[in-house]
Amino acid sequence: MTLDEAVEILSTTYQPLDLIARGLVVDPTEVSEALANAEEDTVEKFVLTILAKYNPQEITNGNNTEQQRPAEFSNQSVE
Amino acid sequence: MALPNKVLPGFSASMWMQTSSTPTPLTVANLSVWTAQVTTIVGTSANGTGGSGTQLNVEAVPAFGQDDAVASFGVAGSRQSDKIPTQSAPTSMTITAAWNPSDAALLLIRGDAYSGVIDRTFVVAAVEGSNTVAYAFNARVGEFKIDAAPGAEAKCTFTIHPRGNQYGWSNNT
Repeated sequence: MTLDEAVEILSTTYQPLDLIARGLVVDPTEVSEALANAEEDTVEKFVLTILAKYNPQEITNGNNTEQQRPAEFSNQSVE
Repeated sequence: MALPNKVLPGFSASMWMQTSSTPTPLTVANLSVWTAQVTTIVGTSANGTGGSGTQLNVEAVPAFGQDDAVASFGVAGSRQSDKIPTQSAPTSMTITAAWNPSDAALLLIRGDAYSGVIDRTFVVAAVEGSNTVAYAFNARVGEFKIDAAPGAEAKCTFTIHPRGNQYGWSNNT
């Protein structure tokens, strides 16, 4: 699924966003980049934040691989 | 969702609703976006633009949020049980307002109550000066009664039933 399709689905749904976002698998790097460029207080920024929660970007740090989530979700676990 | 970004000591709360007898409620994501979304429902007196909203003149903004619902079980011989939170419903808001047959907002509410299936976006705006924190939700209207008893001012009572999971917080900064 492309990022644009996922954003469109989350922007237009009346269903619980977290429930829907769990089923939307997108490229984490693409989400991260889009999130960095998104304008504040827009629906794109809002849904990208939710997508990033369920599609965390992996960071390779030596032998360790970490998953990076937006700061606001750093103390939450993915359900 | 966007969390309230500041404390508003001494705020005043007001209630707003979409106009149109056949409204298109904001999507769940848009309920958390102030710019070009929630602001269009909130009037200028609460720092919105109000192009597609009107104020609902109510006696008081009632409590809103989530009801409680728990399941519990007991083990033979044990005195105490855990209460397990289960799927609960959003809190219904029963509201009293002075009945004015010419009030466009109350007429919309009455129409919604007759229908029972019209989804509309409502906003509770907490305002202090130029700062607004908004709680937006989609809801249907259930009860609608007019009490025209001669001993007092005519009033109407109605109940707004928020739709499950369809709410969001936003602010105007």
